[in-house]
Amino acid sequence: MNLTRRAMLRQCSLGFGSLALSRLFASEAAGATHFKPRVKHVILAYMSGGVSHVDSFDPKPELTRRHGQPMPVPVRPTVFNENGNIFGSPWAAKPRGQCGSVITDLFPHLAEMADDLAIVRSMTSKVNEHAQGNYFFHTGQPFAGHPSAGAWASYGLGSENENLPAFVVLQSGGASAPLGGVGMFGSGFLPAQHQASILRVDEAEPLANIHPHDADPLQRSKLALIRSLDSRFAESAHDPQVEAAIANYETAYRMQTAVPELTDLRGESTATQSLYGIDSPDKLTSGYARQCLVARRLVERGVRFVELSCLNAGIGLGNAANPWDQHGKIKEGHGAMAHQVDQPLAALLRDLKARGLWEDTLVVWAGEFGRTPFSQGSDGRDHNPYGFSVWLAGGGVRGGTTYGATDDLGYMAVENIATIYDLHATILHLLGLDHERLTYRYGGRDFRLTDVHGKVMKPLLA
Amino acid sequence: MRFIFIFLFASALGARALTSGEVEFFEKRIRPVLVEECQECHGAEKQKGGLRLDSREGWQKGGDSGVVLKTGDAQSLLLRSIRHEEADNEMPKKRPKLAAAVIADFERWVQMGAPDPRDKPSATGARPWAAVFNERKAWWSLQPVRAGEPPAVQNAGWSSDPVDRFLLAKMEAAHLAPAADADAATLCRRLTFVLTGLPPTPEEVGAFAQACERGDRKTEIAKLSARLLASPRFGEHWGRHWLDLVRFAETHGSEGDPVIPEAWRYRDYVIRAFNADVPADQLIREHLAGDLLAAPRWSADGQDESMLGTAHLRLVEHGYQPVDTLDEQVKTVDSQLDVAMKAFQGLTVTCARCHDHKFDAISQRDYTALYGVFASCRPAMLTLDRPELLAKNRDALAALKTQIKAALATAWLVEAERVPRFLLEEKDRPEPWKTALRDAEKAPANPLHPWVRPGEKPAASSPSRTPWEPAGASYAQWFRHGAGLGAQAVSAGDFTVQPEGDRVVVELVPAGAFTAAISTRQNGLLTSPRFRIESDFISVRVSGSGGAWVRLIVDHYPLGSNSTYPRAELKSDETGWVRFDTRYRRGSMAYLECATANDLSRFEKKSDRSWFSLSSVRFHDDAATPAEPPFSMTAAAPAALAEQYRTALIESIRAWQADSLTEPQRVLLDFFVHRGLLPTTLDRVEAARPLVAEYRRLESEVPVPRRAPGVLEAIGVDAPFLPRGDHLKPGEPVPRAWLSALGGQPFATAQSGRLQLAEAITDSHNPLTARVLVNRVWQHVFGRGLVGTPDNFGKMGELPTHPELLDFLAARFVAEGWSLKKLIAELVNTRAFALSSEPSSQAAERDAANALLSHARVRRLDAESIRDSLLLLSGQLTGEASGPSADIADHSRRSIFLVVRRNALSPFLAVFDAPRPFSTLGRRDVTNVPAQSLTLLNDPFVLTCAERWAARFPTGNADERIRQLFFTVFGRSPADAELSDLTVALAASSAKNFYRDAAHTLINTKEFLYLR
Repeated sequence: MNLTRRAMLRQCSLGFGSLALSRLFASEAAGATHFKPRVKHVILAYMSGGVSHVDSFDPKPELTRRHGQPMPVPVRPTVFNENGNIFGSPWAAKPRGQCGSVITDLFPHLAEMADDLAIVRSMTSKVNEHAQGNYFFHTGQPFAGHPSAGAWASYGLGSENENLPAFVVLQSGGASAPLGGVGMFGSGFLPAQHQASILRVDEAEPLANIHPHDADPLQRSKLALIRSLDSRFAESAHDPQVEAAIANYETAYRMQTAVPELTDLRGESTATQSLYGIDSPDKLTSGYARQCLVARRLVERGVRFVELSCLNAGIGLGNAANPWDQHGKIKEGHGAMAHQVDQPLAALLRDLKARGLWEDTLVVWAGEFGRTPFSQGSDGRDHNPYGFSVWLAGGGVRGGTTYGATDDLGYMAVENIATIYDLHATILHLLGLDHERLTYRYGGRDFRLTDVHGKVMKPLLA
Repeated sequence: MRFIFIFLFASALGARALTSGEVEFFEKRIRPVLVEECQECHGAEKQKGGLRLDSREGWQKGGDSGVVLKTGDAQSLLLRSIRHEEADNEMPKKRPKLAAAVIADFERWVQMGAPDPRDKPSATGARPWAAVFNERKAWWSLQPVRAGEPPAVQNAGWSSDPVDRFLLAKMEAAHLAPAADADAATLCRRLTFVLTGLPPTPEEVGAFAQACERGDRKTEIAKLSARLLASPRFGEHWGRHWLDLVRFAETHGSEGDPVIPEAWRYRDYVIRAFNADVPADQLIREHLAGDLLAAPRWSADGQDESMLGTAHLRLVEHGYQPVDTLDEQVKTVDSQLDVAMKAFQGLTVTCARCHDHKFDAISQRDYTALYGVFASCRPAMLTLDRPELLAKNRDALAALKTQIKAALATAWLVEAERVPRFLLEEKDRPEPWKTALRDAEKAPANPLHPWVRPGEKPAASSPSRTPWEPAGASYAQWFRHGAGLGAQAVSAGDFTVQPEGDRVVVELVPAGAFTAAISTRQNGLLTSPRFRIESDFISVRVSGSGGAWVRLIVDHYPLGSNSTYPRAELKSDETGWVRFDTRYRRGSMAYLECATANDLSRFEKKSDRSWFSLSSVRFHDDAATPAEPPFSMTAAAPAALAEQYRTALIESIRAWQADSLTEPQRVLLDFFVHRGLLPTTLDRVEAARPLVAEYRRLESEVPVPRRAPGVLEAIGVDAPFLPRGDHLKPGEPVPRAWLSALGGQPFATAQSGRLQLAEAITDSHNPLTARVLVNRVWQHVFGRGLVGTPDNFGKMGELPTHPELLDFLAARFVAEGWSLKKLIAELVNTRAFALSSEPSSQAAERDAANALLSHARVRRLDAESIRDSLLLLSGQLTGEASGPSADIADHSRRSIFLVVRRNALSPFLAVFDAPRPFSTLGRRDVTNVPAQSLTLLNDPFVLTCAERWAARFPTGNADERIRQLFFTVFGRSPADAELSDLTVALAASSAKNFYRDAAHTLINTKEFLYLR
């Protein structure tokens, strides 16, 4: 029998395996990748609600010139149908760093890192509303039931740390799952160990039921007792899944120590904490900074895929689940949101470099879509899935580049049009996985993260 | 050198004439496989690995990895690949391994020198569908069920049961013997969990064990299983299995997670159906077309049970306010079709949405033919009660209404005489007259306008199109549902006898649709014919209140709520125009819907009294809301005009009495009624007082209808073929029809075809339905199906381990009337079901997966059984076993009664693999994740259960109390070693918590979690 590690894991989760898995988050098996990986970890800074690309990483002088004029091209249906005229960006733009990528003042700290960013300016999405957009971005399908990209990474590579899950979503300060709910972090039809664990980094119990109910000596006695009672049952049951379930308790026991340690920042120096902005008077900034710092700690400990969640500034229809959604008051809303994430994310990039983690880590910054170059009402922008920006940074990424372009108004992607599938294919590629070969058979079909689409965006790669 | 030689040799072979035998071998055995299995990736369209296999030259040239086929070489790369001897290069990729016979054919072909007559590559690589279809139609599950006799067995004394004989024959063929019988306690626990999802009480275990010892074990099993099958707990457990098939949820998911109103009624229906043993074919018929059956099932309290089945069509996930509504409809219908075909046919039909199925005999045309069936139906809330029930007191109320009308008319005729005086003598005018005249100034449609502004010319109205007048013959073209909407439109001047208050009547409605002629408790759901939106505006003339809405339903999307979905709540008892701006939705297909509060498929607010009238619809491009026609009078001089008002009013009252009111007369009379210019209160129409009192007494007895989600028929529409599944490029319509592989009969009907679909699926000759159902039951009884992929009987599914047994069971199931309880009883009464879980050493070695069922299969309890057991042990299971769902934090009801919100599923149940509702899930995952251990170790809910459970045994010495815990949870007493281990281990606990900790420990054992 030539069982691949993946096939073996699958069998075990379905109860037909003969392997007692004492390590549920099994270490990366040699040769599990399809080719030499460029990075081992991914940090996804998800900007739920949709950041305006024309106000950030894809500035358009033409909008300022034509401010207040009607759109010269037909406008596609928008969600709110309150389309106004062309709306010049409230933020000035200029070339940055050695590379000269033009970025606005919305993200001053990140703009300083321009030479490390590979900006995709031609991203597109198939959907124009949040929940479906979020599902599409995370799973490649606009509805629930399919595995999240992080789950695919976990399925493909496992975790490097046997006490921690491979896919972790961080939250703080009342941040919640994007619209559509936690299903988008799920493992879909993949075995359940690949689903995300949500860590609330600023709460006493960061993970549900992670705090032992009993004092350690008592819990250890109970565990020993459970094991002895179980051994009698296991003898008569003769079933590998029973044995795997027994082993499960060991992992759970160790997690009780390993997980709370992650969010305990007391060991981090004041300088590090300040770099991230944990001491910021802006509660949103300090809350997000905490996630960024924990993300670094997770990567250090071998976690495969980390997703960060924005906190809610509550401006212009933005809510906990879609804080960037400024259908109105974009200047205030985007201003507050950018202030929240800018310093912490720039600090994360710098810290990864300083600690030698840069080459092993990919950072992806993205939301589910961009925003329209014309206004909604007087001071907002509606959703724009036809062209928007995301960026990548870290190992294997060609920093200081831009890829693709939108038209002069920033409305439609026109050059090197990219899809979410392409982004997924590129992320998997950097992890050493071929998106066409990372498949899982379910309901009579071999499923992929990229469905039947996707091409690696090679020019982004170093 | 060797390569060159081979190349030359191969070329020489290609050039030489092949014998007819060689050609025939290639054409029959090799070419079809190459076309079907290889050429998609190695043909004209794609050349994976630089290799083509669609011509001789292709394989001769080889691919990126060099030579793929050396004639005569059994180790050729191609052969190694199809034998799966090449790691990471197992062919055909992502498909099942080729059958051994096919691989042998290829080996022989290579041995023969690979004779290949294909000089040129194929142009397209694709074989005609007809040829592919014919081949695939030969698949086992599409062949008729063959009802065979149980085979002969050597050990005939083991069991006379036919199912046992089928199983034993296979075991004997594999030289395996069945395991020993399970002990009585284990069997009692297994039987009780399998049938009810709950553990037996210690008393039940004891009684069963004793009875088995005293009497005949087989008889005792029969008695116990009969008792458990008759328990209401049976339906609560097996109903949940069914809910997995229809992705049961009570919200639509996505942004906002909107509720599916009354979805819990469907859950209760399923439980009732299992408990009442409704035949499975009937259950399926109800799921597809329960609202269309000639003889539906009625509950004792007058509820249409059959209709409730169709609710599963509405348990779909919906996008949030989609911009592209047609795309949304494609997804919705796809989900309906996906579930119906997987659940009842074990077919992955929706794989053929964008292209012909890659593996099964299902074409994209087949998909489209079925798509039209569901796409023709409209989402709705269905009224469940018997019409007779809802018509309670109708005749008496109608008779009273006639008398009330007469009393009103009499009073009005008297009052009409005073009209000239009120018009002419300002000082005599009562207050309502003053207000009415003031309001008349600026309203040309106001009947008193000519009085205030005599001689004014009416403005011209803008062009518009009136597609249907619900008042006239076109009322019949609308689709009506609910007790309040009659077969005929009401005539002008109909009214509601007010159910309370001083007023007897408030409005006289125009001719048209009207729900409250008898009572505002009666409901209505009225939808227009379907149309393409081709005007900038649509206006509807309506009145209504109590939470009734008029909505434009675009591409059947039922949840529109933002400004791109035109709709309006009806808040006026005065008839008027509501204008919808439809520019955003121009070009889409739509219909208009008017519904009373509880009949809205998008929940707004519940209201048991709600009503509407709808009398006209207009399509127009002019932005102005249509106006009521100006009211005109011919006379100009005050005295003459006043007299004209008096005459007109009297004529109108007489016409009203005679039920021959014209619309201008209604406008006049309604105005006088509305404004209180005619007596409408009990004080002023004393003659009506006793009549109205009686009316109100009888009206209060009119029942409020019960509703449930479902779909409604309209006119069936054939769906367009969508090349590559692109809904923006519709092709020719495909007539609605059944799957070609199963007969392909057209659904010749003006309706959707659901009824025909239901007939096709429940036809006793359908080869799939009974097999699929029997297999599902088998899986839940034995832990794994005879077909391991219960939702896929196609090529990508697993083959049956016992095909003859499956067919035997399927045939018997149909012959015996599709009784699920009977089937379950037969299976749990087999000897195979009652075996020990301990395998023989031979079985452990040769049949590790236990495909032959020589011993019982160990399985983890499902999420619901774990939670329900905890509640039962801790004495908390005291809540309702039906009715609206409980919050997920509830601790008093079985898990099936917890609300299923797509975006907020119970974390406890989810951690133990309760399904996320998105598609048919016939076999749940059984995962092993640390979150399960962490939950059982640390979740406060579990600790509370442990505490309450331990508290049930407050007295006795330590041993006795521990024994009680063992008894209640495992149905057995602890071994001495267990008892002493426990006492020693929990020395670390406190006196106060000792028993709780003991209970907590037992909850964490695998004996609790697993069934053996």
